[in-house]
Amino acid sequence: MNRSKSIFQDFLPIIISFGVGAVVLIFVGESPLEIYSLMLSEGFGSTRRIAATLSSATPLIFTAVATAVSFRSGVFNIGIEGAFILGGLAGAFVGFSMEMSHIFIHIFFCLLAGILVGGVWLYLPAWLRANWKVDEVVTTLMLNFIAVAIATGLVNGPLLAKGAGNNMTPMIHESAELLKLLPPSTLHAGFLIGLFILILYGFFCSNSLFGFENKMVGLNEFFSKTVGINTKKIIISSMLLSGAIGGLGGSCHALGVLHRYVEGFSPGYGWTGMAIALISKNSAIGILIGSILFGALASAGTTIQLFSDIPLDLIDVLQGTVMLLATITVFKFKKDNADR
Amino acid sequence: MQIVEYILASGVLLTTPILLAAMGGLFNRLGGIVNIGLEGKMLLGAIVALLVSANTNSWLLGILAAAFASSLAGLLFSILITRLNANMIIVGFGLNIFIAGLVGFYLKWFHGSSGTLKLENTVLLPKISIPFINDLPILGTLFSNKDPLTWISWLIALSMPWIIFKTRLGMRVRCAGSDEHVARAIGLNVKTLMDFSSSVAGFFAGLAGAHLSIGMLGLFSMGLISGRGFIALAAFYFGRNMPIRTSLVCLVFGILDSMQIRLQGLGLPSEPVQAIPWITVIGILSFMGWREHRNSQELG
Amino acid sequence: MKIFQGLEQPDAGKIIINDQPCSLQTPSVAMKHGIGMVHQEFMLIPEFSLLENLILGNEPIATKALGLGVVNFENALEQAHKLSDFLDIKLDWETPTIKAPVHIRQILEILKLLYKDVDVLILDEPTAVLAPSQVDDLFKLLRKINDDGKTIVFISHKLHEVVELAHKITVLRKGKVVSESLKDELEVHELATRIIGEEIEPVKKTSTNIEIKTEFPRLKVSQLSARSDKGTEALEGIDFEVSPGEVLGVAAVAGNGQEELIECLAGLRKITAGSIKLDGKEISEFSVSERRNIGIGYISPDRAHEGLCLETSLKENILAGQHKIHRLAPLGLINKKNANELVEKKLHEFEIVHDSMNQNARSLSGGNQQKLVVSRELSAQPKMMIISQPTRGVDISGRNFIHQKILDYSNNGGAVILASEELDELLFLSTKIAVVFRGIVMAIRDPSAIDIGQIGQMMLGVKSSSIA
Repeated sequence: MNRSKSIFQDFLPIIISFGVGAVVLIFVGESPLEIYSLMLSEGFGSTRRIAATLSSATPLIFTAVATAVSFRSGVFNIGIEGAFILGGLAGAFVGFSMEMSHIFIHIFFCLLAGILVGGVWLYLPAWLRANWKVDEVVTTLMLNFIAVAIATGLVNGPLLAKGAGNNMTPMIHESAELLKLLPPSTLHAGFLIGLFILILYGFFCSNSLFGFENKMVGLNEFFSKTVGINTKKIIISSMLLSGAIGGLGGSCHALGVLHRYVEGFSPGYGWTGMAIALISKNSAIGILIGSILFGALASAGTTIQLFSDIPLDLIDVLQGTVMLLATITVFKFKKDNADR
Repeated sequence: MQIVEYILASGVLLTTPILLAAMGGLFNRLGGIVNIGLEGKMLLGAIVALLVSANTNSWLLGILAAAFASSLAGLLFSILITRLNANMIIVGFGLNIFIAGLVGFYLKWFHGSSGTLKLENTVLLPKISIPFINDLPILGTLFSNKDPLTWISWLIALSMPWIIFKTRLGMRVRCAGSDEHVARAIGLNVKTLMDFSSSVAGFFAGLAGAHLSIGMLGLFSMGLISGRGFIALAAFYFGRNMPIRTSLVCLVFGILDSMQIRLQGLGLPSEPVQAIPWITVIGILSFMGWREHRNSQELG
Repeated sequence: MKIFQGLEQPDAGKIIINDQPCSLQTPSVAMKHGIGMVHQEFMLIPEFSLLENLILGNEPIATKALGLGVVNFENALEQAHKLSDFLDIKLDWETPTIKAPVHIRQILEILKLLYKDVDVLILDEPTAVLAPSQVDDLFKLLRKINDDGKTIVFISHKLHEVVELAHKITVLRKGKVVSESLKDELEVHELATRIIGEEIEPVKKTSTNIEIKTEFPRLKVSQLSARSDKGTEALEGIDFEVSPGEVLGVAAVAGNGQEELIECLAGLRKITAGSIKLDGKEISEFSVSERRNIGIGYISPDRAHEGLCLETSLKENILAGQHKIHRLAPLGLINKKNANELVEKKLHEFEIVHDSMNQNARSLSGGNQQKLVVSRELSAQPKMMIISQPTRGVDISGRNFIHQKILDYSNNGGAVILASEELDELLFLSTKIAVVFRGIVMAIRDPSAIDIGQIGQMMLGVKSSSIA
């Protein structure tokens, strides 16, 4: 009985959010059934559509896993958006500014740049939280805005592509481009990297010592400290790992889809990733499902514009509702089984 | 000297929405809730003000409707937190995204617009010109021809300390926000006090949004708020919840805003100036954390 | 006391106030009946001034002003001065409460009750946070209040204070009234015996402790000083030694520094002076994990929040922090087979009744939960165990089991420092007993050469020279 209540509560935000979306649709005279089934077919209806969905899901996998690593350790890191952006810029930079012969070597260095920049970016809030108990929510929130400022400043200044009106860097060299998996869709090898990271995350959670201690610190920091877990080290390294994954995601996005860094690089991938991490309660399977779901929403959302007048903003309504409800508790019940 | 005066004058105008939102956010935080959703409530206020003003030919009804709508949004946000145990940060973000979605949907559906809205018959806020003040040397430029909301925002800012520290309501809100147990032991209804503080925050955020739309250009766009809800947050964090300090910080931020617009116009990088609010908050939080750490009895 | 405040309801019996039976449903109802309590944890808002904390909830209103209720601070200040003048104290009413020293905050708590015009004031261990001179001032204050016609209920473990202050002394033990006497009716040591109880027989252990002679004692504590969370001096120069095979029992009444001593040894609290040496090596700056790595185990008194992670499984509770000792995670990957084997072994060895190692720790009984903690700690075979309240909330069979495990550990050469509020447990397990009162060691004795009454008196502050 408790098990089914628990599962119900986990799915409640999604159910309600579709309900809210349905209300909006009815209000404007559209049929929710029609629109939702249209979204379903646009999301999953054909190989090309599935490819588009997976392509949209790719950045979300990274940001969701990145956020989950921090959340799992009890650290409310909301700075993945910033890590993603700066990682993307770093990756694009190595991509266009350096010439390298072999594709794998070039891509490797681009991704490495993303990982390093993303990780280092979150070191300051991590240290402040671990040593001085400074609230990580506000510091990482502020860092996001600083990241945008830095990226915009660089892209409009020293990294601006010559002759470009829009704020963008030069194109990366072909040797840095991530392979397209299913041309002409935008699905690229970054998706495979994302899946790999997701699998690693699953391993991290269930088999690794780091993952175990990360979880214990998140469940009860006092207990962890008392039994001898080095909570400071765990908090800092978890945040660094988070940032690294976020930066890697940004770098993949730059190399696989945009082939450069442009202003507006991330239409909120960090926030969507956070929503996914929340409703999936940091589980690897949940993140996979959630990323594909939100990826489908995003890609279907663009194409249904061709068939209906429904504005893309409906997606935001759905996502916003999910976030509003993701952390409520309706049922108070005893958990008899330790899960995850 | 011209340019300095100009920057100051437009700085004061740009301060108004930040100040209004910050005052509301400050009150909310004293009540125990960190309101990350100011941005969304400002957006809501902005469009409601525009719509009502255009349809009723009254700027007053416009700002009142905006305040009312946003305070309802504030109440909804708060109830999720106080009665349903939602996490206040997530709900704040969720609210921003939710409102952005609804507003964007509405714009496209009912006005066929892809992000901006300009309506006929929109009544802008009038400019109040007080002859005596106009002639003063510096204050004259600062305070002449300012709209009612600007005056109201400073009135609120100056009366906030009194409301917070000298009234029973202020004391009780602060009590509820500081220590729930003590509040309950005295018999205060903590949840109601918190919800009330959120509605107040929504009210002022609505006014702030209204200022951005019908206070200056009579135009609405999805990007109108452009982070000012978060700048207001930065302001009351930096001002450590003290109204006068916070309003001065808002003024500084407003002037910085005016400066960075100028810099952009001149083709110079404006980002370093833009980043100042964020960096100062990190700085002040680090300082406060260091002080706490120094005084604690915990090892390491 | 919770019942008198309306925080809990009695299962049976009556409360009669002014000849009227009544039921105290909530704190406000209790207040209306004129009963007020000064808690050990002050109910004060740190950012408020002393004046604001005084009037909170009963603010004098000047004008209604749109429902805001403008507070008449002049009136409030007047009333505040009236109170403090009557009691002959000087207070700076504008000071923010967080800046005010502890004894001032306590006086404020008392004044709050007077401001609300209570008839009965209950004070729970009020002198725990006071220096001796401040205690005298408090007593003067209480006598004045009493002279004014108020009734005072003064709860304390400190015999000499009770004897000095009270008109009537009531002794409660295990929920029953054991003794009621008027001032000067009983001698101090008689009172002490009534408090501690005469039925406890020190049980002679059958096994003997092997004392391994080493160059250094395993643990040497010198001049250890530390502060409590409230800012008072909790430990003022503690000295003692523990050798392998010894069990040093720390006998103290709660609030005399026992908790802080344990925390300093475990690595959870800073020391302000002195040193802690393990096998001759200074470890006072070591973190908790560093101490564990060099062989110190710790059983926390707070099982629910520190000893166990109730939200997770038995298995994870046993494994947490233990990977190095049992080599469960070479190269950072957990060897699941070895881990599961270890967990099964430990659950079996400690006779912890369970269905599956994956069930939640919360589902275990109190006794089994504590056995879980003990099993985890002892299985690491540390050089030294710091144990606090090992059998709190544990049933008889669990207690005996845990006691045996501790004795086995000690017989195998482990060194133990044991803090417990159960005197019979201390006497049974310890080879030496250190009595701590007000942050200093009163005496260290062999438990077989001293009787409980004497220990009890020392715990209550009676100097060893004057023990009858």
